Amino acid sequence: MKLPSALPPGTRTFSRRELLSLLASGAAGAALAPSLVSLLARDALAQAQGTKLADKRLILLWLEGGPSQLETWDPKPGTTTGGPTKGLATDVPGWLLSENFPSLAKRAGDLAVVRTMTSKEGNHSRARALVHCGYTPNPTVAYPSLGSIVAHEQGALEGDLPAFVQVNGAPISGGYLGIESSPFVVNDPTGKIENLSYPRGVNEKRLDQREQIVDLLDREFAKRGGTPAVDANQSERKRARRLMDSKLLAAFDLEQEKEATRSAYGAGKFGQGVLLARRLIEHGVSAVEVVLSGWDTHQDNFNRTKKLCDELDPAFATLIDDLKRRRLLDDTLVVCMGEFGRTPDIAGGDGRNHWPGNWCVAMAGGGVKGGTAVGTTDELGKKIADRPVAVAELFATFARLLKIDGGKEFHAGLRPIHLVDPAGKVIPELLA
Amino acid sequence: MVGMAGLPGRVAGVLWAAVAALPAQTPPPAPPPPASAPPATAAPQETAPPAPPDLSPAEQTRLARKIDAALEQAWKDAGLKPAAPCDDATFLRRLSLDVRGVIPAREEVAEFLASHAADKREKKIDEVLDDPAFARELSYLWSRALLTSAANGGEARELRPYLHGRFAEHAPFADVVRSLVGAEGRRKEDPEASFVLAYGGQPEALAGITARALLGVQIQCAQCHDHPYDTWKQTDFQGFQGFFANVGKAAAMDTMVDPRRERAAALLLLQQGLKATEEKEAAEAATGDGSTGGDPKADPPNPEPKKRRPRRRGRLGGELAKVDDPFTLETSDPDLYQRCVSGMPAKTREKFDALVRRHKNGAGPRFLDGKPYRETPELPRRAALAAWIVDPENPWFARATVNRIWGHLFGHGLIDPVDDLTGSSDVVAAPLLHELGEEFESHATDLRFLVGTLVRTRAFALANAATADADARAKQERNFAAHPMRPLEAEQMLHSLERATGRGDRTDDAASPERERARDKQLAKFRYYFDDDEGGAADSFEGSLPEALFMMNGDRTNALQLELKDVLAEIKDKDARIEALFLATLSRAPTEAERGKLAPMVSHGAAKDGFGDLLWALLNSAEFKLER
Repeated sequence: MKLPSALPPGTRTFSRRELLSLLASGAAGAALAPSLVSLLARDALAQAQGTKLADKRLILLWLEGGPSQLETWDPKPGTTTGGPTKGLATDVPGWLLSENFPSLAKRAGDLAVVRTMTSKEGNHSRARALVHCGYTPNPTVAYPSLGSIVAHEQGALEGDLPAFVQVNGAPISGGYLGIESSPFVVNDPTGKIENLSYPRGVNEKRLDQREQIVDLLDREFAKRGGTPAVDANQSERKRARRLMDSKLLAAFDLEQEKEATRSAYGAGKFGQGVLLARRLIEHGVSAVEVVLSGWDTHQDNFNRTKKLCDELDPAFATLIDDLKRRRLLDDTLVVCMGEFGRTPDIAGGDGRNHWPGNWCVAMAGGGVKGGTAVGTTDELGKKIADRPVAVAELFATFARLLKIDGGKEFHAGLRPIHLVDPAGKVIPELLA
Repeated sequence: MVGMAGLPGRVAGVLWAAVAALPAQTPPPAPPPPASAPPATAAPQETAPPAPPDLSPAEQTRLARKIDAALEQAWKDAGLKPAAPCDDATFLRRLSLDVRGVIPAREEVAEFLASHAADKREKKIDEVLDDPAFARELSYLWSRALLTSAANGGEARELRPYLHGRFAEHAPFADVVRSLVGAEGRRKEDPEASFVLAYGGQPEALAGITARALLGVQIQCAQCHDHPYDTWKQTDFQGFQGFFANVGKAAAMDTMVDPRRERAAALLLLQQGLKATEEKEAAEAATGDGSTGGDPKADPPNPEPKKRRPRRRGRLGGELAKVDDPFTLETSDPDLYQRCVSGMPAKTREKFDALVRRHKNGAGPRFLDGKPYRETPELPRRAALAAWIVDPENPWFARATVNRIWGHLFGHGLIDPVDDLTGSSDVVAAPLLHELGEEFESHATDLRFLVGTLVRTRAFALANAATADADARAKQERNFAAHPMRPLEAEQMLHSLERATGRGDRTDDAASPERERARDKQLAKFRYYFDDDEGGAADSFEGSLPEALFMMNGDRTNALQLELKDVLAEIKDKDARIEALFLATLSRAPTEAERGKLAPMVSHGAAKDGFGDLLWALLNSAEFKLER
């Protein structure tokens, strides 16, 4: 839902529930980050102005390459397909995760896992498009990805910060939802953001002078028929300037976090990216996708997957704790998935190949029912024993959880398209 | 064509037949087709070589007048008044961007505006068509069309430089397409194979993009279901896909698929896997560990059996000897299948899977127009497909090509979208496109001729719509009665920024495909800034946040203002300096109003600051970022 134009630019919004809980916790003397307190004051102002608030946010942990379900969410210890990976009991009785998830196993009560995702796309780019966008890729339609959908439907597109930020990886454009819903890519969560600071020798005053010349040129061009382009140029530049000058830029500054917090997420680009995701969500960004690549383990699957899990496990677990502590978990849907799974049969060189037949998606927060495992695979993990789930069903569930009207129609290419594939039904087991 | 070198005359014969079928084509000095080749439509060795087609500017003008007449009639019928002719500055910038992919240099604009020659536009058209940058622009256009996000990076990167080279040597487009579609070989040695290898191992993607980009036919939806309102059936797609069954990930072969050899090869791979599994089991039994599975890490499966390669016959012992069809083993005997594949090293498994896939996909290639095709060693699959695509009788190829070029020059195709010819029944555009397709064929599928013709039309030289009403404007533009404004494509933006800020060799910066290759890397970044999505530039003016930040704060618009140094050194008069910077960026002189208002705004600080700010502002203006 877009913010009404009455709202001053740069206003970050909270949901009513979140605001109340923050106020309550503040009154109770709970430790709140100072930045949050000041935000709180301003947002109370926004509330008083009758602002409609974005309710739900998304953090997508994207595992690029196709993670092995057997070394993560659906281990088969002691079988021919299971490999050397052992199981680990979780805090939910009877539910095993792989031993690669020691921290997540202790938070299974907050996790929901669909173990029986199934699709027909075993090619990286096609599967990546399918699982990101919820539709089988079709070259004539530029489908937006989940983050763009959330940004478009929930996002404060008029805010200082981009509504959708992606950390690492190659972006998928906003497609038919337009370029404003495209992800703003941060390539290094710990470094400086490209082209964000004033050029050398240019201060605010000089930039103002420069922009006055542009304004003059654009006004003259508008008189000669350039109005649509001029309007776009002006709003684009204002948006960039707002971001450059925004106090909310502090959201990108990980130095403001305690050393203990930073190391809890993991020192790598992924862990720091997940921490950045949490900060961005706090500062009003609607959707953040953090990419962890390297899951395409045709060789040496067990060691490589374990290494990746060593990054994923603490980051995901810490994110859950952190969001919970900040009372943001209920309204932040965390999704962890990749484009497909990997073959139960172990290939030569200890590899696993592409396997869209059964794979897993994990979720936390955002109204998901914790401690839930949907579907079971057979003893060797080769077939779905119970409850196959299609990508369209997953997206219908995302839409429900994120309070998005998936039935909304858009005209893209030759025919009207539903925001979310109407073929999918909500997965009721996942709803709290 | 490196790929042909290793082949006997059979392929040359096929290609020759197809070349001869092009009436206007200059025939290559090739031998007559061997007896085994299918009967060609003409007997080339007995007829005199056809006269080379007339590709002259006069011939281009003749055809342009025909297009004018057709469009003028259409405007009359629709009650549309065309926009006024555009001014010289607009014409030059438009022509330069569309043909050379870059704005004109400041000196060129000044010279063009100062000239009073009656034929200066005609002369300029001849000049830009001879510019090496034209081949580069065509290579961008076609690599955009041919590459989607499904393409594999490494191979895809080779395509544009290859196309650049072919266009630079003025290859007829039919020849280029024949090379691309029929290519054999490996990435490094055979750059023409970069198109098919970019989708190596994805016959469905190759079938879809080939039909869409080269034929303007959208069959890819029929991959999963029969097309809802088009005539394509799933079987059409599968038939078309069959032509690409032999494109592997690393190499594209176009030899005939011999079913017996395929079967034997598959059995051999199964045998290797089974042997490894048996050896492993034996080793486990020997250590006395009878437990299931064990630790695979402790005992990795034996890689390829030692040097001695089992011979085809006689070595297929035991269980596999009874297997009749290795391609259905997975269902006919799952346990045996499992024992075989589990012993395969990854490479072997890939080979085996590729064989199975090829077997499944390879059934019965069929042309989209229903022409029969029977595979013979003389006429392998993609060579046959390539010949069918560029055959003058092909119902789509010429029209699809003309329509795409038209779209490039006019903002949208005669039929739009440019790659969906079958979707439209437009009574004006369809016959015109049909006629242009025939002219394109009879003019040797020469892209230079085609572009030269279209830029000489009256429609190309019209001003933008004068009305502010969006609907009226759209109607005029859709009927080519006014020229649209559109954002620069990423490639145009990169080159134009370089030219306006003065980097690189300004006269001849597109001569070498190799030099341009380095720039392709930079382009990847520009596409993120300036393009809406893969395969096409944004058609609305909505800019991206990264684009705005780059234009405002990036080095290119701030630190690298080399052009500014030249202007300040060459020109001392303030008004003339302002004018020079306008020419360098917007390709026009400032209006009186602009001159008057700008003069006081550039006077602060040192000249390099005041005029630096003006240059920055010009680059950040809406007008710079678009083509008028």
